[in-house]
Amino acid sequence: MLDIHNLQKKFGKRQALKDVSFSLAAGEIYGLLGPNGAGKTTTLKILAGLLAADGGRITIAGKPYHREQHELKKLIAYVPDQPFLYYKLSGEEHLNFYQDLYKIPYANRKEKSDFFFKYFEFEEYRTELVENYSAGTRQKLLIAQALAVEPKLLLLDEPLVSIDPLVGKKFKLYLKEVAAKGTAVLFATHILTLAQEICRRIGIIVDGRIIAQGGLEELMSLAGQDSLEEFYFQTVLRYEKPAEA
Amino acid sequence: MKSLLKLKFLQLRNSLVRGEKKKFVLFLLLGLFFMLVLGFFFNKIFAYLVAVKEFPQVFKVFLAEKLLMMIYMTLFSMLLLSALLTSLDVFYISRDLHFLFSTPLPVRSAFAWKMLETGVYSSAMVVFFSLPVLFFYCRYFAPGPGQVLQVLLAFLLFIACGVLTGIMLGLVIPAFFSVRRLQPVLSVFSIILISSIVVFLRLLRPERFLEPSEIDNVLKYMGSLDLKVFYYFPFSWLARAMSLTADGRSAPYWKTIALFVMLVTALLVLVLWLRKKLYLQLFDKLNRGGRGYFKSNWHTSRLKNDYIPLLRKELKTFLRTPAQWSQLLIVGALVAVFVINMRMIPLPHPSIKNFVSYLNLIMAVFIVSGLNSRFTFTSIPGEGPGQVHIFSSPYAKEKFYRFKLLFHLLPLLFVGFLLYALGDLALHFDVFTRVIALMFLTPAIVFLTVLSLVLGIETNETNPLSPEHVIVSKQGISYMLWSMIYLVAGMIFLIRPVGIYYWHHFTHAAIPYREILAWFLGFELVNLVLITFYYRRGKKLWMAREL
Repeated sequence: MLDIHNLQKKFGKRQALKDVSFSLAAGEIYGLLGPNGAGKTTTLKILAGLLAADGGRITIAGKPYHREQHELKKLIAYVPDQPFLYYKLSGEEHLNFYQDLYKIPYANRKEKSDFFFKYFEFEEYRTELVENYSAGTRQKLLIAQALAVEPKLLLLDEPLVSIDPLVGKKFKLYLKEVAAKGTAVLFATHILTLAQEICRRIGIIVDGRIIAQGGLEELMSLAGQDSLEEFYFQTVLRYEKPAEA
Repeated sequence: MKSLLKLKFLQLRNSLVRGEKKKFVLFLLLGLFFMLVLGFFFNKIFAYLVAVKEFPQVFKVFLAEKLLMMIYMTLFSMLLLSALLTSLDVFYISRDLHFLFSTPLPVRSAFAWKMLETGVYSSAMVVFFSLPVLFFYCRYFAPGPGQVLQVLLAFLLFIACGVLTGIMLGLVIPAFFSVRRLQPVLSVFSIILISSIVVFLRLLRPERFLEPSEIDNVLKYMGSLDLKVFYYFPFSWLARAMSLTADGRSAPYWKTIALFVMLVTALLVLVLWLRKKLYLQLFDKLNRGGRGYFKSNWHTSRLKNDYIPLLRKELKTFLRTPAQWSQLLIVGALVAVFVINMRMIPLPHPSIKNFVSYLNLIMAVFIVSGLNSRFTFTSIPGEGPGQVHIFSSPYAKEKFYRFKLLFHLLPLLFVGFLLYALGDLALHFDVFTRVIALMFLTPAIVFLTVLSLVLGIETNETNPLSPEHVIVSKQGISYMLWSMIYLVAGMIFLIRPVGIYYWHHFTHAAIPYREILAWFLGFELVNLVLITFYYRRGKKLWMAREL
């Protein structure tokens, strides 16, 4: 579904991404792990079309992708790491506006809205302006609208940071369901337990470079570690401070 | 308190050190210019009052008192509304409240700090407007240092009364209404008030103050404004105190000051009591948020045009942001003043009408230019972080850019031509003037709209604090400057064909239409080049934008 080859991005003199390469099959959940400023959000932003890549190649559904490729962008939905929304729209209006941008037909929209507002437990905020939402409710709306367009590639940047555990659990279940239906999910997170719980494969990105990637169990057994947390710390430490490791 | 003061000082110093010096100097110069204009106006009035030999001294002071009362009645309403709005914001909405309350700083200190903030923010404008009035009043009526101090003391107590009343109301209101919904309504109310003052001042025909023969009537009119109810308000006390200072009547002056002090003390005690009894409770209530207020009416039947979703979004967000649309009330007031000007303008000779029509064009473009700086320029930065959805969705960014341009251009063309048509209705311009209007207004409005949109994109702002914050950016100031240069250059360019036409018209010679047409075509061509250049530049910037 997604193939990234030697992706590069520079911010001024700082090289934010250095030859990042990985691929993602349909129905796969891939966790992108790494410390702050490692390049997780930059990678997701390039895929979402918020940033332009300086080099490398991206292929989505077998076709070369760049940020003006509107037909391919119909396959992608993005949940940013911060609740960026139009505050003067109500939750339902925002959901409709977002679907309008994707030209989603109106049939079943109502049922879909009903489902997501109930499923993520913010039905009572449906007609309230987004400006009155809490951070968690805003995050729920972002997730709901991304799922409502039924993407083939779902980009999630720290989606569960402000969400309560109960809804978080429901979200994870739903994510597994959509993945089972063929949606590829790229998941950037700091929460290692979350990655361990839902990702089939992970990539560890440090200083703009993928330093380890592969199947979760395969990686840990190769490193002789039992927990992802320990594996992650050892891998990052080996890269950043080889002497200490 | 000391550390909070230090914090403010550091913020101010950092903003000055980090490249905002030019902006600061520019604002300072603009402020000084405005003060000079006001100063000129009040100097003229007070000097006239002092110079009129027929009036006894008592009557002069009395008339000055009535004039001061009118001025301070307006300023007191401004101060009260401003203090009320600021206190709602500062005490309940301000971002730093959660931070302040989470520190070991006692609530009473945080509260005192917030009172100080409200006082400074809300009274700045009134102090600014008052300085020229006070200065020239003291110059003519209270020249001694003791008298100046007496005037200043009364003025400070007047400010304290307005600020404390505003704070008191601001503290109580959230007990009955939601602050987030009330604040925009009050903003609109204050804008209506300001707009009414603009129209009222125009209807007073201030040009009469420059004509000594007419000033008698104006002063008599003010002297008749002797309503008993005014004596219960601080603006009347201030005018009285200033008048008593001028008369050198010490005892009644100090009685007025005692009245002020009693009111300030009572208000202060009341505010502190409200802090103890009500403030934290209401602050907690506010932070619980509201529910289910807006019924969704996103029409789901028509989606033929790609611009429709953006149009719906734009209209909904615009109408739900009173701070945005309420500005239109000020524009309405300006249009009213514009029409009044047209109707009141003296025409000693019919040929002057052609000159007026020419000025009418400048005024129309000037107003459109102002609207552009407030609405078009701030339009894309005002999208805020929500732009993420436009960028990450399959919606073509170029279409978004075109939409933003059309969304502002079409209403502005309407406003521009409406202003011209109003002038035409009032004075009945000739056919040639109507041709100039078409040839000048159309490209000028298109160019200024494109320019403001492009400079707005150039700010690269994605999370502006407010539209005003964007306007005072480097690009905002550039827009204002370039739009004025464009306006002057455009008028100079058109002087030639206009001159040729009317010269031949008045001398009854054959009108060289070809030459006139060539000038017009030249104007259109130059504009076309400018519009194309800026449109493309904006598109390039927009398409390359990264979030």
